[in-house]
Amino acid sequence: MSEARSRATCLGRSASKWANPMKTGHPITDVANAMNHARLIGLPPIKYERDQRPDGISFSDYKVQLRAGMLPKVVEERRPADEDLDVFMFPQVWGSTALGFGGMGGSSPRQANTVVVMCRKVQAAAIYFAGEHAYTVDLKDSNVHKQLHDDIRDRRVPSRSEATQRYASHQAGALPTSPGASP
Amino acid sequence: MSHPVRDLALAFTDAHEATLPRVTGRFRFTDREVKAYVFPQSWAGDAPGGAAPNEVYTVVMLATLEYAAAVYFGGALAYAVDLKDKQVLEHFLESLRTRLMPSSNEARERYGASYYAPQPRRAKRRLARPAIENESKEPSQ
Repeated sequence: MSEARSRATCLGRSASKWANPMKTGHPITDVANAMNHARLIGLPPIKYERDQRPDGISFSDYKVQLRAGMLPKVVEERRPADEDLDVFMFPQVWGSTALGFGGMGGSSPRQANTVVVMCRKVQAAAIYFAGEHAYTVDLKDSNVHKQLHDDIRDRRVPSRSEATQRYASHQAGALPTSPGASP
Repeated sequence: MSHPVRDLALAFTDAHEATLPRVTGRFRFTDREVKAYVFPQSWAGDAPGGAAPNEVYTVVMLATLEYAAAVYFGGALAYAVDLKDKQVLEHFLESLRTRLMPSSNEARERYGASYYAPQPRRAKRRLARPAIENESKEPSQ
């Protein structure tokens, strides 16, 4: 169970929050909340290489070495920006007021906006139900990528418990998260 | 690429204020009576002077009670469609499912009489408050 949970990382709040059936979401706030969470926590950081300028080197030597490609490379991380994200939003009907989070909830059908925030650079997607983070999927496997796109096309993104089974079998390993992410 | 929150806010405002029809018997619909769909869509040759693909967010506002939809590209209204015809509804939902909304010209050909082009904005389009019966009467003296 813990392994499956680590594959489809669950960083959202507790499902008890969704016991309130009167809570409604607005599409604009749902998208804004989802993008904000994905940029700060929900998606793993983007790793990139840059040339390191050694100490004590003159600028002319630095430029020469830079053109020659002799400078050492440093791997750095940054959080995804808005330009790195692809956002999909659509209404989805759930059979419970707990939406796709599981746990206690009323048995009446409930419609909520599902937001999928996808980052091509890190090959990951964060799924949000009514603006709240549900899970993050690693898309490095092409089968998982296709599966998620099919789910978005059908507007039937699996719930948190279903995602651990549906996407975990294709995932190679645990999804890296940012250092500030709360478990 | 445009920002989805900005595009969605512009689309909501326009759909509320002008484009989508009013619900019968009411002044305007509520937010929960409109379904919003957001997805990125690529357009070829949109950049001036070149054929570089341009990716903007497509926002589709679907008024479920009145069977009408408004399509926005990058926050700007492209067209509105009357979905009372079953064939038009099926075509529209299929293109929405595949996330390939037709352009304005294609939609005019595909939807025919159900297609509505965006109207030029007027200063007092819907801002005038509804007339009150007693207000129009002259004071009885």
